[in-house]
Amino acid sequence: MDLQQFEIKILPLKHKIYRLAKAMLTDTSEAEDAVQDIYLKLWSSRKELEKADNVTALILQIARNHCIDKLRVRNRVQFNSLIDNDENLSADLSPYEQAEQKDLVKNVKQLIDALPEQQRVVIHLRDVEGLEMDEITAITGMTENAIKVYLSRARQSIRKSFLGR
Amino acid sequence: MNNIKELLQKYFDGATSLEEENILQQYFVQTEIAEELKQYKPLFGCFAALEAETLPNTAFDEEFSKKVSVHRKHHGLVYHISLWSSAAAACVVLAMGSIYYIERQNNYMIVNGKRINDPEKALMIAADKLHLVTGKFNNSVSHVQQIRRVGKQLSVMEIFNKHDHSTDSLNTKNAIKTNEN
Repeated sequence: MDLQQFEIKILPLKHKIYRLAKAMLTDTSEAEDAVQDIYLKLWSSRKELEKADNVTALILQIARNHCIDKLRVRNRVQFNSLIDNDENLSADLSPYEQAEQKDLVKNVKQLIDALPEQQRVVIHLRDVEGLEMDEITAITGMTENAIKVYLSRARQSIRKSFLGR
Repeated sequence: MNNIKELLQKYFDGATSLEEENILQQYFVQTEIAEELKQYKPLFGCFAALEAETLPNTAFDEEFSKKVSVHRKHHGLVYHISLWSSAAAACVVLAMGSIYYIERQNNYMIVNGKRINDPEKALMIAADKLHLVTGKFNNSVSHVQQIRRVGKQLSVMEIFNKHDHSTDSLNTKNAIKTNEN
């Protein structure tokens, strides 16, 4: 795979990688740095990428492994600044309702960030990226049953914390 | 609404398909949400917000391509330098090895039909042999000296014998003369 093919096939996946890195590292600047490092790794292993059946799954697997290494270095995950993306809030709401929704969304993000690493990865891949079970299996190396268990725990944990406020 | 409720329960159990999750997503993004279900809106709103998030660095592609191009050039140069260095090192090793081999081939000695290439061993054998030869030489010299001594003694005896012989003949002549007289 030459640079031109890499630019066409692999570079457009940078946002997915960034979101996964951010979900795992829970830090914007660390996630950005991780994307840089991951792309250098991807460039080095471009021959393997060519052979892959599911390039996206392989790339997210590489990204996840990179983030796991980062998390190992860092003993405890720090909860830093939260994203402030309110594009998806309904335009039909009043400014007050929009502000309220924004706060609520922020709270959910905080709850997701506070989940254990495996639950956080699974809920991100499924509910944010909308990946199929077999893709999540390929990325995480977990069994489908384990993924379902983590997913259920993560969702119930958020619901319990969120509704329990 | 009951359908949504059921789907929600399935969702929290981790048992929904992607299609069912999309139905839930679509339901909570719109405005007409049942009052008792409004509490779940931020959850699905959060997922939608996270999905729309992009890498903040908008110049990432250009920067990456530039970095890779520079890296490739640099890597290519390093590769060529290292290749030539390796070749040069291999030549030096080969040349030194050849010289050593030739040197070893030219310097050897044969002892009792055996070829000895080790210089130290050869020197020891040579020293032993030299010692042996020196010993034999010294021995021979002492024999020669002995012979010489014997020779000298013999010549002295010969002189004495000649002297004795001349004295005897003189005495004989005198005796003959006396008898004639």
